[in-house]
Amino acid sequence: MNRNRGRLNADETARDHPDVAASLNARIAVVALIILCQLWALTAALDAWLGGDTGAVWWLLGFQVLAFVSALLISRATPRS
Amino acid sequence: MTQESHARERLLDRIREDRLVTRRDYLRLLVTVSGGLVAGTAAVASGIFRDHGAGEGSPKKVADSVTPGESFTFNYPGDDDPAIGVRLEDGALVAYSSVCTHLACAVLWIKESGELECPCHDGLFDVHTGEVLAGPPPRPLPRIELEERTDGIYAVGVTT
Repeated sequence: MNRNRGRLNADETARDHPDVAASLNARIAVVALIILCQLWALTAALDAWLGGDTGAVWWLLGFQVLAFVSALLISRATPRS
Repeated sequence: MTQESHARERLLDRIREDRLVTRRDYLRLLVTVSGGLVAGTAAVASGIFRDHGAGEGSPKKVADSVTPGESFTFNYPGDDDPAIGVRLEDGALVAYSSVCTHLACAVLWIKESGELECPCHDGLFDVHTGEVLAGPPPRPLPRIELEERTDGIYAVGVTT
């Protein structure tokens, strides 16, 4: 079964048209950038919480949710080969 | 099939058994990490990390009396919030959370230098204000308001 799965994935990779592959690469880069921003937001939230600024923590949580939804939409909109 | 081509086929089979990670897999992985970061921030917002010394507390007797230059320890506002009180040489009474704002080590009163010191990373705090004088602590110590009554010294509140 593993062997078949490996073949399927190899086939999937091989099937990607150059345009599709480029599009996927761009999406990966954008989502990675979003994650970098989220890492900053997490550290900022922890710092704000320990500093007693709970209002800022909720704003940063809102930012995190927006960032996640954006990443989700970007990944869901991936083109099919 | 020659022996050489048979060996080649076996090698290719071994390579195929390792599942290749596609671009789509990477994208799914990144989105999962993104969700994890949202969960982490939600955990911070829900108060999973305790902020020692913060919060409200009802008045509580913490000592009978203390002489100038001496210190005493107590827990306030909660039973898990260690604090330190000091009677200064001028007679003033001050108290702070004794949990260092850097990495939560215990803060000690150094009578000789007249400063509050965190020995873990040489953090120094001003005993008059709780402000950071030196070292890595990012914030001052939460201050505990004390009140002297006829029957002893009471902690009555916290200011951060």
